[in-house]
Amino acid sequence: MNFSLSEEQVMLRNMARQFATHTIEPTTIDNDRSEYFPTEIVTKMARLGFLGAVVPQEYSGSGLDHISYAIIIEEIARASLAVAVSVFCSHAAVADVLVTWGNRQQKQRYLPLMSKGEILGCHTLGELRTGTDEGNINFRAQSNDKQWIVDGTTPFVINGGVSHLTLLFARIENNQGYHGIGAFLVDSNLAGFSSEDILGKTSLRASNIAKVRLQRCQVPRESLLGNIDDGAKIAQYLLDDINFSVAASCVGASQACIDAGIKYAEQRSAFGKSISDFGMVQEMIADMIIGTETARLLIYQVGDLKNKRQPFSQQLSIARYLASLTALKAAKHAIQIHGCSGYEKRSPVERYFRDVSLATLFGGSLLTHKLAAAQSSPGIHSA
Amino acid sequence: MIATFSEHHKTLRQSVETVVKEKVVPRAAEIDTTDEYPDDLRQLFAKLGYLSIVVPKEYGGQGDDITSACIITEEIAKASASCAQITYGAMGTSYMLLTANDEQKARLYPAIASGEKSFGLSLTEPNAGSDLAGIETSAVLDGDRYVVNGTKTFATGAGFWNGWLTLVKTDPTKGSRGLSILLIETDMPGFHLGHHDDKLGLRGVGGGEIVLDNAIVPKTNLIGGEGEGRNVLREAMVPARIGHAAVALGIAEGALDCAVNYVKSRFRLEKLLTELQDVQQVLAQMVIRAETAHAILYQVTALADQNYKEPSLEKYASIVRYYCGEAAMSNTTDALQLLGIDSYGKDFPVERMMRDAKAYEILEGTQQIQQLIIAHSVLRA
Repeated sequence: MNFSLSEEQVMLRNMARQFATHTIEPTTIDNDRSEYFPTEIVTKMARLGFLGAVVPQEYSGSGLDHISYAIIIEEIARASLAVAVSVFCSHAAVADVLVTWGNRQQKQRYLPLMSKGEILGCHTLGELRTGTDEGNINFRAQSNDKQWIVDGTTPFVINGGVSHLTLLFARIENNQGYHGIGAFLVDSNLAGFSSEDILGKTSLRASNIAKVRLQRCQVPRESLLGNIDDGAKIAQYLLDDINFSVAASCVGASQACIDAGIKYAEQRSAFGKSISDFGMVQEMIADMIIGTETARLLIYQVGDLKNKRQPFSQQLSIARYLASLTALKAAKHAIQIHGCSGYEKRSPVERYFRDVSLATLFGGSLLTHKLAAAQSSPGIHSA
Repeated sequence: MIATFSEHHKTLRQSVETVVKEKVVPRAAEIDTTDEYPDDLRQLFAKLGYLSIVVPKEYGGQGDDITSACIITEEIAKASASCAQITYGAMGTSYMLLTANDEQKARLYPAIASGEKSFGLSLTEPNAGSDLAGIETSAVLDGDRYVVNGTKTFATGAGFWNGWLTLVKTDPTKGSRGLSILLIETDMPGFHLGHHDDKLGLRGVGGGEIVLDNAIVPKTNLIGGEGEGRNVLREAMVPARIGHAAVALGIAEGALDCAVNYVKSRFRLEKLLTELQDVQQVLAQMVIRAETAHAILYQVTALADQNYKEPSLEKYASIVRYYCGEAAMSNTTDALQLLGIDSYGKDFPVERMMRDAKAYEILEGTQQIQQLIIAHSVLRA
């Protein structure tokens, strides 16, 4: 078992960190305040190969392994959870689904443009209620000989207002139950497709989140992804990607909280000494470090299993649960270390608290993943 | 000792419940979004006697007990912690003014009771939060007035209230015995408002910097004696911590209500959420916290009402402030995970409650400070 990163992975981490620190960080407070989605940052990330991180090089991707992917996500999330969620939990996840499930035409049509950041992708699995209820699908698709007619609305799509390609899940008419879901690649410039940005958000303000609506939208036959009854499997594949990305993002956010907490504690005095000397402050920092280091190792393990094409779902549930739990705790502790000043918008830590709360919900709540860790064991079934 | 609610307490709770449902619930979301101070609600609370609840009767107040004050605060907080802060603020300053002299009481209490004026408490500075002995705001006596210089931060009500009971240094050579409380009012020369706090939660109650630039404060606004700052503060700390605990309790209960109402109408994989054991477990934990917090708060208010000077109250006030704060934080976080995206709407405003709850791990002494007080209470015995 090798617990060290390769030389390439270390270099990649340094590059991603430099970019995050110098290009993303200086903009985060302003972008959050003005609820601005920074397309120019996404473009720069494309040039560094981050948008097509796991897309094969033949489609203009970087062809990186999954641990490297996790490393990039963590470094970006450390600077801006909103950017990480937009790029990795939505756009890049859709790209990865295409790599595995798309036919040659679909891959050639979309992947190079996605890798280069010329088009952005989104998916309609954004609406997550109590857990991973893929059965909770908001769109209907009826087929005739020539095309699909798709109807429906979903209230919550990350990148919904800025993307050109929507990976949409619809219940195919006249089919009941689990195998009746189809996955479609929908161009947003089709007639009948509309989106409405959600404004005045409290969380992930620098992400674009929109309501997406299809009204008798005529979707070409060749937009179907995979076979007619592959929809549920594709949704599960996508969900795994989302969960991996959210977990890695949470580690980045937790690390940002640790860094902010230590930085503040070092320079703040009370009762005659630096507050970093106090046991109760050290306890909070320890809590954050223990959770973050654990979650990071678990994510690397999942990445390793994915690289070897081995089953990874139990480890992913564990990693996702721990990473989210840690991020929620870290955001709380970071504010706590800052006291009143952490509760106010001049400090970055209050933004971590707001953003982490929403980000940890994508792909399922804490409890869903905790139970899934048990349900991955033989003999334990879903409740 | 078993805390019991009198008929008066029960009637009071019912009437506040009605007011909250009709007047506070419809405004709660907008107050948070706009960060605009609900002065109309403040005036309503004044008219209903909520702001005068502990002001002595001879000065136009209700002369009621701390249990009643907490009942009002708790019920309002279930819908809006920000609105509850308004009533709590009045309670805190009323208690502090018990150490005021007769002239001050006659001047200030009627104004508070009628709602004509609202006062807050201002202690924190950029370089002094938990460690109040480190404050730098100076007050130099010049004849019949003090000349005050310094900056106070995170003053609740800044921009709306009429003044603050402010911790100042009247004698820099005497350490903590050189601290005093001065009531500094907004119309005094040299008083300026600085930065307005744009807060994570508890929005709408105003907050910000108070800048004192050779501010002129009459000597008649010195509360308690010169150098008595710590003692005056100590008088207020017990009810202040209890009052804050009551707000936190309301938040914990509000989050529980949202969670219960939500799960009764939602499904996971075709099963009603209410049938799922893992959901039941989360709810059970939330109930245990809310009920325990409720029981301990009113146990402590009963003790305080029986004997306000009881020495063990310092420990109990810290315990209740710590516990209710944690209950609010845990219940709102649990509810957020249960409700998911629906936490962000107006129907089940759990996300807002969670942002509000965070304040109650910090204000009136952080969780860490409370634990220090509690630990010392048994180590010194």
